[in-house]
Amino acid sequence: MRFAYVQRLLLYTTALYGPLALLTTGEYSTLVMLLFMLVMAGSFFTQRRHIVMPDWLANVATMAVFIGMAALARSNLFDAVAYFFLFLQVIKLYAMRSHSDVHWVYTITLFLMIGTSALTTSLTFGVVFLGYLALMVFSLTMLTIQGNHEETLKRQQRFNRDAFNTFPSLALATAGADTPKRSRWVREPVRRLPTFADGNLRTSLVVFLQALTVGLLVLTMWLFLVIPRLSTQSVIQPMQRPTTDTESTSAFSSDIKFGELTKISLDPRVALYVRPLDEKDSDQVRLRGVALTRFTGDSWSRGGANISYDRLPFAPFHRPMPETKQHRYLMIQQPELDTPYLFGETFPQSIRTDRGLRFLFDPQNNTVRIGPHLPHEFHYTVESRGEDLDQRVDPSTLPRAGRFDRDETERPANMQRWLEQLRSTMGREDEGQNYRRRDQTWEIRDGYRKMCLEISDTLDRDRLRTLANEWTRDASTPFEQAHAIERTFRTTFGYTLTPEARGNIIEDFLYNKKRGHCEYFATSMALMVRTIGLPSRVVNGFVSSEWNDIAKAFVVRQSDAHSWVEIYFDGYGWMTFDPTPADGVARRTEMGRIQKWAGRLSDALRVRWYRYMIDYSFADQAGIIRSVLTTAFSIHEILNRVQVREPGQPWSFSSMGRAGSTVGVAVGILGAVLLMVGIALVWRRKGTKKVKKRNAASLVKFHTELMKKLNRLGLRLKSGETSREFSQRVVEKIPDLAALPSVIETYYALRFHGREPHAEEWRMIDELKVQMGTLKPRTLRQQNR
Amino acid sequence: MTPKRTRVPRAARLALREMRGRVAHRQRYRLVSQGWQYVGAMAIIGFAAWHSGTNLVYLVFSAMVAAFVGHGFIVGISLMGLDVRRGLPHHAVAETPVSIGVTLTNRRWFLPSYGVRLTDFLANAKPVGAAFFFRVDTKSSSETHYTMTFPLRGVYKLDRLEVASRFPFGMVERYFLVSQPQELVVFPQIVEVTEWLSRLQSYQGDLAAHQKGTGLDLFGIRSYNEGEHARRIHWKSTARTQRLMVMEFDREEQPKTTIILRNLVTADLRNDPDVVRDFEIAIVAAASLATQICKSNKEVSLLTSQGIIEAGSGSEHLNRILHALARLELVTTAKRWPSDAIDRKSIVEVRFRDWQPGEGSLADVELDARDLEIRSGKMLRRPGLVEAPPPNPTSSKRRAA
Repeated sequence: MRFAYVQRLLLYTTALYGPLALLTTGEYSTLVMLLFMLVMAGSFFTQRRHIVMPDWLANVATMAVFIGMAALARSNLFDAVAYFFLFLQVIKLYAMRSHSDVHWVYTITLFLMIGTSALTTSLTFGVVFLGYLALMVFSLTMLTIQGNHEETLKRQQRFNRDAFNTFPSLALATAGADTPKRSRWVREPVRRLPTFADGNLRTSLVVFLQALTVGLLVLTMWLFLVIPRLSTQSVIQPMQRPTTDTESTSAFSSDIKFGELTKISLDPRVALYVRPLDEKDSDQVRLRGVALTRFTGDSWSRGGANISYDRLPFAPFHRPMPETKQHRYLMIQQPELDTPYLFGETFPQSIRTDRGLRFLFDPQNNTVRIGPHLPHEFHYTVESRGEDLDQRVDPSTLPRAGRFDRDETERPANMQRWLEQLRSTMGREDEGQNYRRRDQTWEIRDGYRKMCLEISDTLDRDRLRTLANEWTRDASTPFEQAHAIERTFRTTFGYTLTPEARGNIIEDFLYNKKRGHCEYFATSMALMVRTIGLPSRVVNGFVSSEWNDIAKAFVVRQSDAHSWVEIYFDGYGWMTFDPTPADGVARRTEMGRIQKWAGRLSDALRVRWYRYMIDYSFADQAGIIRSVLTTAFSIHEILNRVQVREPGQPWSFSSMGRAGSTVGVAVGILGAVLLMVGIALVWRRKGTKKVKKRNAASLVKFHTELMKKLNRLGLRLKSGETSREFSQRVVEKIPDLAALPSVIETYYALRFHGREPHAEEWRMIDELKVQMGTLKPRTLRQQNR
Repeated sequence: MTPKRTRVPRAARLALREMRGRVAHRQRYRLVSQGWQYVGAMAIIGFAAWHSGTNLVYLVFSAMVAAFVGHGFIVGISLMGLDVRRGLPHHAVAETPVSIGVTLTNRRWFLPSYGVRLTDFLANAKPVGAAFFFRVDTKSSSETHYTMTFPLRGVYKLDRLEVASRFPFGMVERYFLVSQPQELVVFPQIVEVTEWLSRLQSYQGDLAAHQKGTGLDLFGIRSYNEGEHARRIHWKSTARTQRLMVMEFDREEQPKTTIILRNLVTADLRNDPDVVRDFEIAIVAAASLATQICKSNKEVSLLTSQGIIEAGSGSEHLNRILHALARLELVTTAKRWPSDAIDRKSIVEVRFRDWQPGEGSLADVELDARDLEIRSGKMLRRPGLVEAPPPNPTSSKRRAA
């Protein structure tokens, strides 16, 4: 394969990456993109046959595309630009004539990649970009070598021309002074670049380029990590106030129709990745999303709760109750969920995020959402106090919560510790713009209480109350009543994803069918407890038990969407109840072993992709700097300890803790590097570049083959003509074989003087072999013509 | 007692040599047009990343910066430890392409050099040639040549060599200059002077039959040297001595021809363009005559206002004459010729200006250089080099694509 052929092949492959990248966004039709790729690939074959689009046609086509896309730009500017670039790419590929066109193709592909990077956050784009980068390294290198080679030839011709222009030759001078200076071109025997048939060249260049690609990837990643993430958006966005409280309709919105949750319950796509920052201490995670208070018979709505705005970090979920479990910190990555609501494990205490996002906080419902612009993907850390349903206690047995805030001395020790921790991490409670305390959110307002006791007119309240009383006959406290209802649902009702209830669906479910999905159970229980005077609300969220060992995270799928109930107890606050039977909660998707393993690997990659590529932020950079500084100080401390240790006292890196181990590893790596450098220096000093001794007899064989080949090409040795004379004659006909006379001389020296060829001569022979390999009768005829 | 000589450690000597080499090969960067475009695109994308805060745009930006930095690093390394040497031929001939060899040596042990371009400059900083090296392996040399056609005779002073590379991505060119002052003597153009030669031959009579009787008498027998023609082998002696022997032939006594070229002019005519042009033509005429005569194995001498070259024949003698003609200039004062310098029997005077009062021709045959028609097509050419019309730009672009 010729050098130019490989370069062209790489160029056309690079061009295909434009539509391929756009395909990863999911915004464009697969068929259209494949069509573009097909058309682009077709230009490779037309170029091989030297069919080039005329300039005028290329210009007309460009204008036509521009006008067409200008019309499209009114509806969708980005699409118009993307399609314009794609069409332009096609035109350039079909009308390619010069190096400038080649550069245009690269530039257009680059812009398509940039456009895609702004549109998507998919991991697939990462893979495509990796391939693009590797291909560009090869392609640009080939182009540079070829371009330099051609430019050198052009320069030489220009120098010759300039020389004649500067010093007009005598031939021109004698022709008269008025004769215009004409260019004088001397065509050199074309020195072509080596072909890829040369294995040695191919190996060395390809290995070098592979190493260069790896080096560039490392450098890219390093730069990606260190370039400060300071964007104008982070300055401009906090200055804007939220204008409207608009949001899209989904299973997690302020207004949900009955059955919305069921739709996404069949969707296996990943909704969230939940990574515990500490050790995993539970087999499942319950993530609270939106809380709904008002039921109208066929839909739930969030009700008239107040919306407030605050800047981060802040602590919206504040419920100072005695803790039953330790605080848990979950890093939640929200890749593709079509909801503005944030999720946190029940009950969330605080949320942190690195982005300058605007939050809408509902203190009554304890929900947080982002608005109005939802980023594609982002992550946040939720601090929560896990609430194990099996370890709930009757609030009537606990001291009243309200007293804690009024008298600090009576706070339980763990509560005191939590507040101190909060102060240390966020500043004092009552100062600083980054923290604003919420006032006693655990005490609901009267209006909100009233809303949480409402029962829709579509339902028969008395019949519902009768049923509730029947189920709670043996209960003495509100908690026991709620618990009894929950237990009855779980034990006597059945779970199905296929809705069976008709007409008045809640009553049909309660009194007749007794089978349904989580929405039926949650709604029924919330309404039943309201009839016995307990404020309640329905919460939509996720419950997942799918733990990914590789990603070290819970994988929460859309099918893990769940609905449950929160009931308010005076003096305590809200408590979770889940009336859905156990077989309807945290259902696992059945998969084969390989599929499962591949899925886990893919999830792990996605977790890392979203965490370290998509959501990498200034705070992460600060964290890295902090950890580097901490390690540096630790090393300093270790060195101090080594200096001051007692003689004979045993010492090792691992005895110095985690930092010591780090230092130990670093010292080990440094030692290994120094060892390798030492070996390399010794190797260099010895100059062990062994030259393989070649068999001189192969030259005689080559000479015979050479004569045969020339014979086949129509160049025959005349009678009485020596090889030397013959070689001169051959060079006159085929200037490319300029090395032939020298090779023949080498052959003479070996044959008649017994002198073996030296390295340079072997190289010349090898080059001649390659050149001979490229010569074909057809090529020869073309050259002669 | 002689003082003990201080021995400089080898490592220090090597380091010193390396440092000197680096100073001599001070490398510089040059941002080429593609590089400017790349930097512009990088700035735009950098701004877009900074404005949007989108990490994937940052990723693209990082890759672009990495490619730029990596390119600068590699292009710097690829020129480290390179030595360049120019190999000039003994002489060149005006209007005839000449190959000038260049050798690039890579002294490094860790990375071959790819895509190195070399440009040769005259002392007046005019570029004369360019050569391209695809690859120079570590600890090895690579040779190539460029072909140059010098339009006029004279002494061309070649000075600097520029070694440059844009490998791998072509955004930034790194180069260094090496000073290697050398001189290349360009002989005058050789044209066909058949008509003049005929005039001379008709005068000299026997010049027309110059082939008859030449080299028939045996001069002697000697050992065979590599490259000699097999026809010269004396087989009887070879058989007798058991080693290859060749015959040497005697040469006939030939008539001597003296070419006179008076390069003496008055001061006011020295810089006259017409005179200068005619003088150049006269030099071409003299050189062509001398060449033709020498090729006929006749003896020829050259007389100019600056001196004399005694009669002789053969290629070495011809080279002496052409050297003298290559360096000949118009002068205002002339040297006196020795009385025995002129062979009165066959004097050819090449004239390029009208006789001034007081001047007189010494020649038997007088030739006016202004009558000579010099055509490029009649030049003597090297095999394998053909004159071609300027290539069609469209077709060259197509080939490039």
